[in-house]
Amino acid sequence: MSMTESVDWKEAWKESVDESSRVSTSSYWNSRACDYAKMVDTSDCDHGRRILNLFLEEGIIRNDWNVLDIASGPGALTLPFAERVRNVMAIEPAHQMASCLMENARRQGLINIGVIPKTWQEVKVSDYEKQFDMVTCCHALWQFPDLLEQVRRMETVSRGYCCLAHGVDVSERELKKSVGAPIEGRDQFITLFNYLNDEGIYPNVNILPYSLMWPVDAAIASKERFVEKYRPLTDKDRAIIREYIACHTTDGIYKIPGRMGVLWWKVG
Amino acid sequence: MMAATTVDWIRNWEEIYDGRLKVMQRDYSIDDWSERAEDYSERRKTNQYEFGENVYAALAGHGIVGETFRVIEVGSGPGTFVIPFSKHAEHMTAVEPAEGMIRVIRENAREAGIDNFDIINRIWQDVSIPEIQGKYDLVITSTVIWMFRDIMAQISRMEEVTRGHCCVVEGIDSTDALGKKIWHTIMGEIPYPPYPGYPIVFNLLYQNGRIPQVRIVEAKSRRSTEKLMKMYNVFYSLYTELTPEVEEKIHSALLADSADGLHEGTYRSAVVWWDPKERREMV
Repeated sequence: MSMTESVDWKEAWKESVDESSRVSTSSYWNSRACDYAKMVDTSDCDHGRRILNLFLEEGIIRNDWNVLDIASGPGALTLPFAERVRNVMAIEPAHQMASCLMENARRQGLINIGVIPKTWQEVKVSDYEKQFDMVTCCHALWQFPDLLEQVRRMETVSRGYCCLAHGVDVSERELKKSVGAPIEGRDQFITLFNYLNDEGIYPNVNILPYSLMWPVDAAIASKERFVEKYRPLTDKDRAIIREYIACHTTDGIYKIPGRMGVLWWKVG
Repeated sequence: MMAATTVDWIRNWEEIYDGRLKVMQRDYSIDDWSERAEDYSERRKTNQYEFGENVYAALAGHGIVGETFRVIEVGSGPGTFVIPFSKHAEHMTAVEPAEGMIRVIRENAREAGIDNFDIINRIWQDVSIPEIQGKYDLVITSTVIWMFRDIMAQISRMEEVTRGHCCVVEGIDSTDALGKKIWHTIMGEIPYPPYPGYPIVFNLLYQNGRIPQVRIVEAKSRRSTEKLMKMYNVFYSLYTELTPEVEEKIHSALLADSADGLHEGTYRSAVVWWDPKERREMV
């Protein structure tokens, strides 16, 4: 008997991500591309590097690997991985994000990155069966109300590992409260963890610290776009956002320390 | 259906504990563990302590244990970790109340040429914490904490004796298909008694502010059918009257699942560790 069977984790996950997946469209992410790219750049791909370092310490990364990075954005994970493996294929439907990624790759002299300009759900997995040594999806799982189906598709294209990363705890809680944006009522990470375990996927777990760092103008833009996901922006919102960011800025850099849960397993 | 936010994992733990006792005729006694020493030892010695070695390797890979470390184990059983850990680490302390288990630890240690360990012959709850506070680099326990109803109190006591990390190792397929099949043959419609383990322990630690990390390890278990039979006899004597008919049901199920007098299986376990000094920001 499952110790956690009194909770329907599948339903809990779906409820928890329904709203965010509805409002976070490709056009939203196109509008966020610029500020998000600046954040990734300012943070020197901090969260992607920390995930890469975890696997380097585990001794599992090999330089002949092909990696698939789902919802790559401007390359927080794609870029550091591309420095270490043969090839990284990025799935990124927002064309602005994809251009930022390719521009970052060009600047760093990385020629081993490709982009599939689709959502993961649109990708035909039979075309890529067992083609990748690791499949990653970092900070993007809220796009998948049907999480298990999408995870099974990741397993189909992986001949090695699957790796999911998701924020632990709620960040910028006070700000979200002040502008009346929804604060995730459930800890999505623990819901994700229990959902996978209930389905017989027992991942390794690492909870890692990381920092997101924005230049102030990019931080302001990102919070404004965030509010606009839900409603038109008012002058009051603008003031609240500026004040909040000013309070958390040092030397022109807005920094949020956080933790992410990394769930990873070898595909059977 | 409970919403995820409303799960109180401590309460959930206590309910599982109480639910098990309700189904039992009597709870385990220390003598039951002495009775189990031989079969348990045989299981854990499979492939030169493969299970203990794999747990050690998972922890050593993250600097949680190493050759200068002093380790204490809560409920050592037959030396599952005492033997492999003593080989690599500086010193091992086994907390073990069952005489039968202690005898087997000593035998196994002699056989392995190990003497850098000591034994505290008590149940964990009776161990005086002030005497050993902060004296160890790692406190580890495996398939023991289901016996603690006051789970967080006992976990806090474990945290007090280490200046490094805490580790709980729990099986994830402990109720295998064979175990369930035998249960239903003997107990009919009574549901298989739940034992709180993984992933509930992860939830419990996380909800109480800890930052647990997990490695899943795999190890083989090989036992003689005869010794496994003894294990099942002890187990069912707690739940029902051990009549010749019950024994026969166990015997025939085990024979059908064994080859050449041996029963083999591969089991996965979750190695869960955390640093008691670290707390996550509670939402």
